[in-house]
Order: sequence, then C-alpha cells, then structure tokens
Amino acid sequence: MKTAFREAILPDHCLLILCASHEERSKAVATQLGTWSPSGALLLHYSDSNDLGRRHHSQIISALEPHCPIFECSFDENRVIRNFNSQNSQLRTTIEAYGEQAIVIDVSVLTKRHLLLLLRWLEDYDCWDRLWIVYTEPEEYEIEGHLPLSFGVSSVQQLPGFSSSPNPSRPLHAVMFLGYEGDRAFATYELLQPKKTTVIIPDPPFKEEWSGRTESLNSNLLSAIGQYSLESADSLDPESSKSILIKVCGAPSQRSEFSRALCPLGTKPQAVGTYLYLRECIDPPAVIYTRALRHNHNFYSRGVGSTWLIHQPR
Amino acid sequence: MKHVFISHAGKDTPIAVKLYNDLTDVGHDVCIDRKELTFGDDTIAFMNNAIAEAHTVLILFSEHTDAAVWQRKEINAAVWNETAQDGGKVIVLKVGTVAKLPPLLGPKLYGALDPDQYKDTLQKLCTEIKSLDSATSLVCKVLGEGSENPFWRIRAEYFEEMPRLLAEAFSPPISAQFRLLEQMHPCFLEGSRGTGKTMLLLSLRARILAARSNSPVGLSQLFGIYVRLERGAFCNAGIQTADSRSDGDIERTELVQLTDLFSQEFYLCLIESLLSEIAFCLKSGHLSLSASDHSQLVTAIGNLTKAADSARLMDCDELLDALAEMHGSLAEFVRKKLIYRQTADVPFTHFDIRLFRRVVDAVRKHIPFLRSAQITILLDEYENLFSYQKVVVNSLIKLGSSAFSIKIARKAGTEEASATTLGQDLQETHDYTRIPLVYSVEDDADFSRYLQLLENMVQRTLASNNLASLDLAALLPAGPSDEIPPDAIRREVVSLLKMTDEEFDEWDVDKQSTKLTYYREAAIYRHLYGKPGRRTKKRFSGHKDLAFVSSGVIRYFLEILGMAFHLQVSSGDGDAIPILPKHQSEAVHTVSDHNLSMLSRSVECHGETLKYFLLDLGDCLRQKLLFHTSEPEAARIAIKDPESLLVAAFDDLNTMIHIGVREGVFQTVDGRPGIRPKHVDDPQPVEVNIARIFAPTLQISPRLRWATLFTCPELSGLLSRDERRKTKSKLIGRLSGKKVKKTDDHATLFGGTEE
Repeated sequence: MKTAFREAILPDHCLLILCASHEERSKAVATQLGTWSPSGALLLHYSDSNDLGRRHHSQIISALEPHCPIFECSFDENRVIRNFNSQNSQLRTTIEAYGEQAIVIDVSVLTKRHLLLLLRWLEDYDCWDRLWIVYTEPEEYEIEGHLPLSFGVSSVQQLPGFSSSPNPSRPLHAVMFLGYEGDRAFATYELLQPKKTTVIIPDPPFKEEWSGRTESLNSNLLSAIGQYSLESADSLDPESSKSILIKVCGAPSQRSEFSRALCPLGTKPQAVGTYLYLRECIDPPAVIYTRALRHNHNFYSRGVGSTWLIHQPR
Repeated sequence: MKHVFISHAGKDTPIAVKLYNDLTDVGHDVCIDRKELTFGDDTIAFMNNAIAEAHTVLILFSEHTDAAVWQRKEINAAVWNETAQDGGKVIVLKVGTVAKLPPLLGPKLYGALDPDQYKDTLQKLCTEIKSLDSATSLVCKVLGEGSENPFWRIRAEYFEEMPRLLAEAFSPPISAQFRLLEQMHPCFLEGSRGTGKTMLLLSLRARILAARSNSPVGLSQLFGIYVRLERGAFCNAGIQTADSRSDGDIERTELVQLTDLFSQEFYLCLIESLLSEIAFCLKSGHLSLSASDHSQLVTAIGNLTKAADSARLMDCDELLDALAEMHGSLAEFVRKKLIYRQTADVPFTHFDIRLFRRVVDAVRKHIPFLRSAQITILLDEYENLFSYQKVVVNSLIKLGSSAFSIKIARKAGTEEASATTLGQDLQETHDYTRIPLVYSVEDDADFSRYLQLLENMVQRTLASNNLASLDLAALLPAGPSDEIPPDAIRREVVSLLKMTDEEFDEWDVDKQSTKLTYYREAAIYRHLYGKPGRRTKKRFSGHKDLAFVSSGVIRYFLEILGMAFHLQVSSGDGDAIPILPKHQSEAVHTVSDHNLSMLSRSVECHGETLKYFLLDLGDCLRQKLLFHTSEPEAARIAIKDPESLLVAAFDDLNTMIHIGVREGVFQTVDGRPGIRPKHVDDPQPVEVNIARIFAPTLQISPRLRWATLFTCPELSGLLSRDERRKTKSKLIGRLSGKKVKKTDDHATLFGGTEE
C-alpha cells in the first residue's frame, strides 16, 4: 500500500520513531505534524552525524517538543549489533512505556540494514500488529550522468539476525533490488557469483523524469547478467516488492531448488517489502547487505518531497 | 599513472583545495601542489611530473593568474605538452571576474567556479573527465551471461547445468592435481581468482564425476559432496566490526557461543549436502535404491538428526525440508541471545563430527553401491569464513576420519588460520596437502601444461559451439615479428648501452646480435612509450603471447579470447576464426584495463588503495623500463627488509601484499607470500610479481627478468595518501637514475621570457 500522508491518516495515540540525519527529509514528518500529536517520540540519530545532521536534529526536537516527550537514542552504524546489545533495554523500556499504543516509524533516512533489523526487532517484541510505516521522498537526488551515490564496497555480509540460506550446496539465485549505487550492486554480484540473477528496478520511480536512471547507473551489471531476468517494482509500495518477490522466489510457503540471496539495494519502501516477504517465508532467503566504501557527499538527496504512509496494520 | 592536475595561483588556494577534495571524493586521482609540496622540494621536478603524468590539467584562471609566476609556467608547460606531445587535456575554469583570457586558452574555457555555478561546473567536469570504465562496460557486454560469444563461460557457476561440459573441461593436463584431489589426504586447493579452483572442486562432485567419461574413478569409489561457503550460507551474528574479519573485539564467552553455533550449522549443511547429492543421483539414475531402502535411509538419518516427524518422512527431499527448518531456529537463537541479549535455549547441540560419521555410516549401510566409496567433502570459498568459523573447519581436517575425506578451495593469500578447537594447530603435510594452482608461465614445463589445459578447454568450447576445430596456434596466429623496425631496435639498444653508433659498429656481429636480442623487449618499450607524443600500444598476439600475459590464470585468458572473438566478428574482418593479431592485441589491452578498473569496484574495503598501489608501482617500474641502463624489465618486486613486515608500523603494507595476492594482483612462485627466511640472521627477500595481465595497462613489460628491490618504508609510503606522490617521485628517481631537466625550451603564452 501507499497512501499520501496527511495528519488525519495516523492513529491518535502512538509512539513516533524517527531518525535525524543530514538529509533534509529527515525532519519532514516532525515539521508536518499539524493537529496530529503523538504521545511520545523516540528520536534515533547516527553517531557520525555532521553539522547538517546536528542542525536537523535540533530542528526536529524543536518541532516535537511542544507536542510530546522525546527520548533519544544514538546509533553507531559501524557497530550496529553492539548498539542493539547496549540499547535493547532502552528501546524496550520506551516502547513498553506506551503500552499497546500504535507505533509510527519514519523509515526515510534509516540505513537499510538498520531498518531491517529494527523491523525484525519490533516484530520480535510483538509490535508488528500496531506498526505504521511512513516514508518521505527527497525532492531530488543530486545525480548527473554516471555519478553514483557511493563508491566501492566496504563489506558484503549476510544481514545479522536473519536466517541463513539452507543447504548451500544448491545453486545460488541472487535477487537484487537496484538503486543508484552501481558499484555496490556490481560488487555484490561479483562477490556472490550467483548461478541465476534477477534484478528489480524501481518502476515507477519516485519521479517520472528519473525513469532510466537506475538502468543507466547499473549498466555494467545489466550487461554482465546478459539475458537477465529484469523485473520492476513500485519504488514506494512495499506490497509491490513483496508481490514481485513471490513471483521470482516463489510463495513464502514454498521451498526452492535454489539457495537464495536477497540484496536490498533499492528504495527503503522496497526494503520494507523485502521484510514483508521474509517474515512469511518457511525457507527464507539470506539477506545480503553491502556497505559502500565511501558515499558521494556532494551528490545526495536534496529537499523534501512527498510523504507516504506505506504500511499499516491490517 | 594518469591523474588530474590542478594548476592555480596561490591566492586561489581555498577554491583549488575545495575542487581537489570534491574530485577526490568522486573517485579521481588528483594532484595539487599546495597539498603535496613542502619546503625544500624540487618544484620544477614536481611540476614536470605532475603535468607529464596528467590526463587532464585543470587551470583555475583568475585575476591572480597573471602575477602567479609558477602558475604561468604550469600553464605554458601544460598547453605545450597537450599540443606538441599529445599530452593531458587542458581545461580552463574561471575563478571570479577575469578581464580576458589569453587567446590560446579561450577555446579551452569550460566553466566557472563561482559559488552559484560551482556545482553545475563540477558535474560537467566529472562527466568530461570520468574515469575510464569503457573497458569494463565492453567486457561486461561481450562476456555477459548467455552471450552468443562462445567464450562467455568464464565462471564455474555457469557450467552447473552442463555437468558433462564441466567434467570434460579438465582432463590430462591437470591429472596431477586430480590425483592429489582423489586421494584420501585432506587438501587445500589454493589459487587467485579465476585459476579454476571451483571447477576442479566441482569436477569431483558426484553428479559431475558421474558424467566424466574420462574419469579413472567412479561413484562407487569417490562420492563428492559440495558446499559453497558463500556469504549468506551461515547465520551472522554481526558482532565483528563491519570492516574486520578478525575475532579481536569479541568477548571470550561470545566467541565460544559463536563457534559452537557455527559448528551446529556447518555439520547440518554437510548432511544437507550429502542428502542433496544422493537425491540428485537417484533422480538422474546414477544411483538406484528401492522405495523401501530409500525410506529406511531417510528414517535412519532423520532419527540421527532428530528431524521433525522423522518417522513419517518418505524421501530425501522431505528430510531436506525438515532439516531446512532447523536453520530458522538457529537464526532465531542468534538474534535473541546474541543481538537482543535475551535468555534463550540453544535449539540443538547434537550436530558434530560424530553425528556426521554416523550419517555417513547409515548411507553406506542403506546404499550398498556406496559401501566402499570415499565420501569427499568439497568446501569452496573458505576465504569467506570468519576466523572462529575457520577453526571449526580446521578441526574437521585435524580430526579427520577414515569415513570421509575433505578438499577445500581457498584464494591464495587468504589469511592463514591454523587454529582448531582441539588446542592443536593444523600442520601442513601432516594434516593436509597444499595444492597451489599456479602455473608459472616462465617455467617451460608449467607453461606447457598450462597451454595444454587451455587447448583442451578451447577445443571443447569450439566443438560445443559448432565452430571449426582449430588448434590454439591456428586460432590465434601471431603477428609479424618486426613490431618496430630493426633499425629502431638497434638505435634504442645503442642508446641503452650508452654508446655511439660507431662504438657499437666496432663490436663483432655475434656480440651485437647478443645485445640486440638481450635488450630487444626493452628497446620496443622504449621506442613505443619512451618518446614524447608516441602513443602506439605494445602489441600482443599469438597463443603463447596471450597465454603468457594471462599470467597462468584461466579466466584472464578466456576473457582475452572472448574479447578478441568479439572484436573480430564485429569488425567484419573475414571469418570469425582464426582471430587476426590486431584484434588479439586490442583485446589484451581492453581486458587489462578492465581488470585494473575492477579492483576499486569489487575488492572489499581495500580495492581503491590496492589499485593506486599497483598504479604507483607500475609508474616506478615503467620509468625503470624506459631509463635504467642495465636492468629494464624488472617487475619482480623484492622486499629488502622482509622482517619489517612483522613490525606494527608496516601492518598496512603486509595486509596490502596479502590482499594483492588474494585478488590476483601479485603472484608468487608457490602462491604464498609468507615471510620465510632460512635463518633469522639471513632474511630472504619476499618476492612478488605483478600479475602480467596488468602489464599492458601499466605499460610495463610482462617479462620479469630482473627484480627491483624496495624497502618496507618505501612501499609503505606509497600507501599513505599524504606521502604517496613524494615517495613515488623519489622512487622513480632512484630506479630510473633519470635527471630532471631544469628548463623547457618552448615559447610562452604570456610572451617574453620567463622570470
């Protein structure tokens, strides 16, 4: 699902989880509260934040303070599991303080690794049935021609806490959501050396004029895959990603003749869709997370685009 | 190697440094005097090198330029270099208000760096000077999966649906390796990327062995089960820091838990693999089993493994489904215990080597055909394991068993990990045999074996693609021997010997001939690359030349062959085969460029550093090739003080050498770059070769006749972002013995004489 965000759409009593970052869109929800007022807010922020990140952090606090109490939680992306170790109790205490109230999480600027771990954690702590997920697009990605959002790869690993792919004597099928980071996707493909590859591009993209960018920034991978199996999934609707995963990997209740690896390199809503599929799988694929070596700080998201509600309890 | 040089006036330093940082950030190698020159440096030498080695010179032209003496010199030199020597492209960028540009610079004006235009100009610049990735684009396109190019299958994975083709790809040339692999003793099969490790391992897999028509052994003697230790094969607790694979920051109790958990999962995977292979062979008819025997086998293994509902399982596939669910329970335990720090019960603890032995015994009992078979565990990609995971695999080797054998493929240069859970380290020879998959192309016997292997693979590829049968020599004919005119070779050799023509003429013909042969290769390189303005590429053709430059790595050879085939077909130059020498040569250069550009893209964490390290070494060795008077072809890198590699200050260098070997950038004679002095007082220099596939793009000779001695501080300096250029400059001076000219004899743009 994807529904345009408006204040009336969200539940009245809830805990809002959001994250501050150098991206302007990180403050979108906090500054669009209107008459909607969460009962409390859990503000995450990454410890490597720069001046811009710190400024947005302050602005979010200023916007939220009149409405609700704010709890803060810092995350070191380099030691994400150690963070979960040490902050587990704080997260738990904060959530428990709001009883059975709904939880609204803004996933716009969470890293995909953090996002997937957090969704898994929220489900393990029985929050899934009251979880609302919102996402804000950037107004624009500062990107031109061949310039990607990141360079090189720092590591390619299975996402911690998720299942391994059973029986690694089976041939590997890699399913890769593609984004604007060609190096990251190509390196993942080179290191995994899958027998079969399916790539999923965002279609429609966030904006019509961005059509073709993903293909252009991943041209080497698309060439290397050759007679590839190219699929597309809505960039904003997690259900669309889940549907395409069912199409290419089989129904969650089925087992596969392949050992499978999912690589969520596309949009955040697509990563949410990946989780929607994984949580139902009896033979879950491994999730492979590739860290970029270096981000292109000059060319990143700019401005604030539309905000969407992309998941709500059934 | 080529970089971007920024020329600017002293007063424009802030904007120049900003541009330097932004271009570096997007992946360009950028050179700027303010960051790299320090008091006492030779400014003219710096400028000369910086401009000569630049593929692009960015001139920041401002109102301060006219008064900037050194920038004016740089501008004059850059424009002359571009015009007269086919040197780096000059691009002019305006800074602030400029009344007028010198006429010669006008057409080179590209944009302005004022705040409101900076971003647009930077984007345009990046597009204009983007890194050369066209070679990679072409290789990906030409050798993509399922391509019509007959040589596209350059990875073992692509052969999986064709076990017969894979089985037949290897035959007599590597029978020695086969014999070792087929023996009971555990083996580590080591080689860099593309040396055929996986193919060799897979050739022993039961389903493929059964398809091998030329195999001296059958399934009743050897039953291979294959497990790929890929990323994603095992639960990851994520406790290691993202960029480190060592156990250094894990608490002891966690480490024990992680090791135990991996052990459970590893033996579970081995049993799954054994069952998968049996199921495949039963379906394909390589094994037969009555329904009741099949059911009894499944029940027996189901009981041993405590699989859910084991009494009701009917066949291997159902048992595999039951075992798959166990992975999920392990993942849940890892998450709750190690990530959330909750109390959680270990889901199971009974998977170990004893259980695996009992499962193997059950297989022998219920499948009489396999009663005497050597069950062989084939583990691929050992290098992907964390240290605590290697300990478990090592223990399996150490404990061994008469019930099964174990063969492991790992990349050469993989961090040595000999620890086991038993408190005793693994010992080479006693516990395992190491089989280095290195074909030394300078050793006649090895080279001959390598050629025979390639011949075999190519013949089968041609036949399976309905192409005419041609032997390698006919498929890849060599070009004419006189790559450059004989008089040019003679001229270069005379110059190299520091003689006059008359002095050389006084020598007898035999002596002249000896020297001409001895220095022929260096003379060719000097003629092609040693003079201003010359840009003719070194030619590579003929099957031996191509096999030689492929460095004994099958993948490189097949990439060259595939690319040459593509160039031949797309050019319309006659039939698809034989392939003309000019297309062979172009293919070699393209594949060389591609493999260099791939380093920064696909090597984890250290790729970019490794690429620049290689480029810098290449620059040093090229200068030696072009200017050294007695030992020009010297791409063997010998470390003069190898004992220093053990010192913490040179950890980065040590790591880089190991990664270089692992990624196939460096090669050693036996595939291992360890420090092995015979005596403490008599350290043997560690010697690594730059893999020959990189020679064309580095413009160095792939013939490594002499070693070049480096010290650890010198090599370490090349790894330091701040020290890199200065270290390289000093090294070039030492290795080439070249003196830098103090003045350049050319006219100036600004008129008059220089100050």
